[in-house]
Amino acid sequence: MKYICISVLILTLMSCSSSEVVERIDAEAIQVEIKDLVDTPEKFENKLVKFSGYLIGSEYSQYDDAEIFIICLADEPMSGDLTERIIFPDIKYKVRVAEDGYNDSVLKQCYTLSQKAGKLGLPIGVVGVYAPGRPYFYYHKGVDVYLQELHIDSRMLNTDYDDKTKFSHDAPGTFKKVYKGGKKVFEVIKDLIP
Amino acid sequence: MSFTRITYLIFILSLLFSCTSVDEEGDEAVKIEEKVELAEKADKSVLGSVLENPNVYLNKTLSLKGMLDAVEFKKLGKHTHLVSFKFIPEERIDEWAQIRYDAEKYTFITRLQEADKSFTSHKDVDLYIRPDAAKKMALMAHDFKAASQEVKAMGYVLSGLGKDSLSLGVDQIAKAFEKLGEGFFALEAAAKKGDLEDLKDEKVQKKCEEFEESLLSGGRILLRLSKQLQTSQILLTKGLHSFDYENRLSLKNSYAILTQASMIRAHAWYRRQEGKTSQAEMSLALAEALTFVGEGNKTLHLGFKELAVELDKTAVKYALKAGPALQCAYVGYNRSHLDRCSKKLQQVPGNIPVTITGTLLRSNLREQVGVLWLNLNSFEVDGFSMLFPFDDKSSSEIKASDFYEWMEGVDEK
Repeated sequence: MKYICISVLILTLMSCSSSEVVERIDAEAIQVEIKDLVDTPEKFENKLVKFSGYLIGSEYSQYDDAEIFIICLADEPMSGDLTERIIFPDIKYKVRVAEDGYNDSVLKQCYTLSQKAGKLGLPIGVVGVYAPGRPYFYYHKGVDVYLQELHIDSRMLNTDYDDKTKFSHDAPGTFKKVYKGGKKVFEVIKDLIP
Repeated sequence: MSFTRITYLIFILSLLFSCTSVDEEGDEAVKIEEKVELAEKADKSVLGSVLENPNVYLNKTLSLKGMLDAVEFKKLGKHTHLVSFKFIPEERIDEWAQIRYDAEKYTFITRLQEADKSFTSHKDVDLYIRPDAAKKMALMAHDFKAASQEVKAMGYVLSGLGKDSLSLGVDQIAKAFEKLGEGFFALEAAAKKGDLEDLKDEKVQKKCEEFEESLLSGGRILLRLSKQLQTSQILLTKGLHSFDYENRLSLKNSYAILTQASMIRAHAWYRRQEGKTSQAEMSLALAEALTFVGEGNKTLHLGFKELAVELDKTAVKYALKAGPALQCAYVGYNRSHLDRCSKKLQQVPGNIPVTITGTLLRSNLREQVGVLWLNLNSFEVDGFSMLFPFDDKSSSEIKASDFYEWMEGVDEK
């Protein structure tokens, strides 16, 4: 009986944490230009691509304890100061590249480096899965590439390094909730029993 | 035995407790998906006709295209927040452009300032152009020559439209691009004179590379400025465009480039005196190129100054008249998400149309009675879209949490 309970518990927890994600691809990335992705998106959909571009805007936020950053890369550098913007309707050849996870130190490092590269006008190299048109956290559509590696100057960073899954991140908290809930119910029932 | 039963009961109840909120989120996700499907199936309507005959479209889910004005995010009650804006039909683009333009009227000036900053960022005299940069310089020179002709063509269009006063300034800008083209061809020539023997030191190479990049970056900014000028042609001809040159820019930076060119020439004479002829040749070639760039930059400033003076005379003092616009709003419990939505909407620049979906209602909207408004569902611009109802909790959930908080407070007392 105990085993049944444990299995039910695990299954329940797993069902609670399900969400749509773009899976990591471990394969040889296809070298592309931003122009190729914009002009012929169907050719590269759901494939691991590799390209470089110049930072034109970005944002960094948190949602459900996960860190999220989006960088907008264009085929040529933009003059002026970098802003926390990711909407640029006047620039045709651009892509929005996103990464999220619980490995905040790695993600913050990637974000800071990309900002520095943007300020110096250096190109940023990206390896990621091209999957446009999908919902991404609170955005319904608009994120094009899901980052796996970031290449800046001579540095290459694995953005998935030390990133726990949502399940393993949430599990201790969920067990705690179950315990607390159970305790409360037990106390109520105890009072009801004559 | 009874204890085991109670344990199982607790276990099942605790499982239910732990998953309640997630299940509700799941329901909410389904609702959002339904709304999206509904919006995608909705008839594509013209905002103008909706405003003319609203009764035809009442209580229907619509997909409308137009321009945003007065985007607002506001706290209403303890938990509720509002995002609202006015949606303007594309026919009113001129009025709208003028109003939005107030915020962007200094873009020409900003571009010029940025280019000046880039051109004058390296002030040393022992600078050279490396042979590797020759190709890049030549490409940019061609871009400038083409831009010059494009701007010149724009001047002819303005003359044809009887705007000779404006075409004079535009002609001068075209001449400036011509000179800058010469400047970059001269930089290509300077690069070809680069002696690898003199440039073998790594520090010198790095310094030269940075200098080349600052020149190319300045060039890129000016080429972008040329495109921006061309896309503003309609606003210029309608007299809707004006900008303040006098109080924001001067020829100081153009003279700084010319000063540097003369100092490099002096440096070349000293090197020649020391018998370092190859270095002297490289410096002389660079000095000549920088003279072209400095002269070009000066002419460009003068051209924009002339244009600014003329536009200031003709600028139409225009204000948005109260005209047809659709009130759009979303009220929800999802504060942080609505805040994000309003920030994104405020980022939409210039005269860019946005597509929104929602249900057209004639009902009470906060204190206003019987208002025609669109209960928002989503917006889309630049291939980017957001749903307003995302993460919006139900009122019963909010009330339950309020009740729980209240109960906890009572317990403590």
